[in-house]
Amino acid sequence: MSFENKITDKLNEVSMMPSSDIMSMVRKKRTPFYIFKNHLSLHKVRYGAVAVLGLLALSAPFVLDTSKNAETIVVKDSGNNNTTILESEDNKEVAQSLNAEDETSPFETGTNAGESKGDNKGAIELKRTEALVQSSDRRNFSAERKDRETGHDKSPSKVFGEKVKDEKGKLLGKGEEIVNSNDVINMEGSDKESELSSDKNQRELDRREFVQMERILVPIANIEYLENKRELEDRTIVSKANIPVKDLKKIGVNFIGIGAGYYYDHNLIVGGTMGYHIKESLGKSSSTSYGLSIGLSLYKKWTLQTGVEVFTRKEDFSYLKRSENYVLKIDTVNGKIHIPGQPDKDVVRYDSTYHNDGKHQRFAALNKTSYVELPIVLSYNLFTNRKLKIGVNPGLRLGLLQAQTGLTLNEIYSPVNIKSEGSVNQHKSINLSAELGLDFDYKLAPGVNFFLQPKVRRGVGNLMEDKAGFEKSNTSFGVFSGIRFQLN
Amino acid sequence: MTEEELVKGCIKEKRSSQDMLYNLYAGKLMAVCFRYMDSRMDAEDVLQEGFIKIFDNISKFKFQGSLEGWMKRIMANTAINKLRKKDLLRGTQDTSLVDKQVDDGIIDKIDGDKLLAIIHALPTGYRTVFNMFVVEGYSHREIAMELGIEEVSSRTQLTKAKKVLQKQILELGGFIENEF
Repeated sequence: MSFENKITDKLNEVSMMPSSDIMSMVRKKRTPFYIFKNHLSLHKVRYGAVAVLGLLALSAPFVLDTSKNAETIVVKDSGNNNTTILESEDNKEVAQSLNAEDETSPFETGTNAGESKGDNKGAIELKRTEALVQSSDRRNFSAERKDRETGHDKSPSKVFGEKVKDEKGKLLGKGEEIVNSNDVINMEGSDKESELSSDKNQRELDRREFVQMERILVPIANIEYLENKRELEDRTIVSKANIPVKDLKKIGVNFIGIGAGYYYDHNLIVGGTMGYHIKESLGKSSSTSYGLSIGLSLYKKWTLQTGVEVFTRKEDFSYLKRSENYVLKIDTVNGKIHIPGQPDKDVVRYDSTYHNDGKHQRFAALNKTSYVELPIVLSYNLFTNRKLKIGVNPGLRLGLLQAQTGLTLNEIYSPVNIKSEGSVNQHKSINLSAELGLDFDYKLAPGVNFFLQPKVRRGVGNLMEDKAGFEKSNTSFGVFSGIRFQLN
Repeated sequence: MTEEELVKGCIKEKRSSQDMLYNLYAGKLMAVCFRYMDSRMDAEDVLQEGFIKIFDNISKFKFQGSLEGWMKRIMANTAINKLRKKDLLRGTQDTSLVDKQVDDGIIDKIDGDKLLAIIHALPTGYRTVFNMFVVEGYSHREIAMELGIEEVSSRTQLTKAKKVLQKQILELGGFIENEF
């Protein structure tokens, strides 16, 4: 051992305790604020991720096209270039027919499953074609499976794939393919019965495996014919491996959650203008929400919970419009009194004021507003054991108005359609609400937790554009609940 | 408590884990600081600053290598940063140097504390270069860059440091041999 190494070894063994209490001085220097600042600088990336999520949520209204009605479908006829809008019933019919075709098993039914609609043109035809291609893909796997079992050497793609479309991609009648499918069945029946019986157990296992695989593969659109089951499995694995769990962990995400909520609302409208006033609590108001959430570890027991939620409020409300006492102009010459907005009345008594006791107007409507919300909730962990965590969640959420239907009040508090042109008192496009709640997190299985968040939410400021002199506020009580997938 | 649990506790700012870490390693880390600094007080300043850095950055420790080694490196770097501001060559003086080779057996007989005292008695420049080169494993180029001196100066300082150290060890060794 060299001179240097011996000295190094000797020095590494040396220990000498400091005379002063270094640890208390270290603690003095590392104040909670210092630690928080240090934490911020150490985790710039995760806060960057939060900012990106925020931007994504803010851009949501520009990405989501609210003008599209979910219950309509635009159908273009390629033959004469006509455009038809099918209302919901038609849409359902098309969807049902497509579904029916898609679900039709060539091994069970036989003929004419796809011929009910007659002319297969345009968009409907394309949709059907897609559905049939997907359907036939599934059949291809079925056929492949049958083929393997029977030892038939005819490729299932030849049986189905080429029969579904001709050279131009146009859909052909389904009778043919079904005949072919029956061929396969017949082949199965006639070919290798002895093999089937000798290898029964193995085939049963294979069949179950295949059924499971078919279930996995059904949602994959436009799937191509696969050479063999192995490739099929590889694809499935690849598609699963695309989830960037490691990347999420790197930026400090410790859970991803999915959930839904239900709230009871207390809405209050107050205001007064042009001799009228309203002060009314709106009854039968409830809200629902659903969305994704992510949790980011912040510091010690603090976690930041954010994500995107769709929040929909239904208000079955009624406004009560009452007239106030008026300061009247009394025309003593003609014996008339002038009331704003009303025909002149004859003077009965020469009082200084006129009071219209009990006169009011009530109207009812069902309003619906929906928002895309970005919650920024800090969660402080109060209690933890092996299974259960309890925390308190104060936070804010930014709501971006997506849609509003129903009625609103105009300047003289008469009901008008909220979406009508020039409607003066719509909901604000952006609003802020504060919330406070509890967070119960229960471990169901490794990495899977159930959460329940009872909470109270309070809208900050006026929910309406302040153009008609009245304010609408909202307070909601409810629960948000779902499943969290722990990454750490 | 394992080293991993200790580190995780410190990441979560648990007071008990921090105390345990301090009690386990403060002695050895203090020795590192004392090797570099002129006085015990300066060493304690470095120790304090070093522990703040350790607690601030312990989440960056990825269990590649030993925790002790990682912390010693932090202490050494903190000390070097302090020394960088000083004129390291100021303390260099002509010492009557010896060329006699030190017998390895003599070093074995000297205990670590005395060796530390000998190194600590070296002029600041010699001591710093010796510590960085011999103990921390820096190259002369790295030392030159870190301390803002010429590479040649680093080599000279190291040579002189070794000679002074050998002389001191020989004197101490002779004393020890006479004792027995």
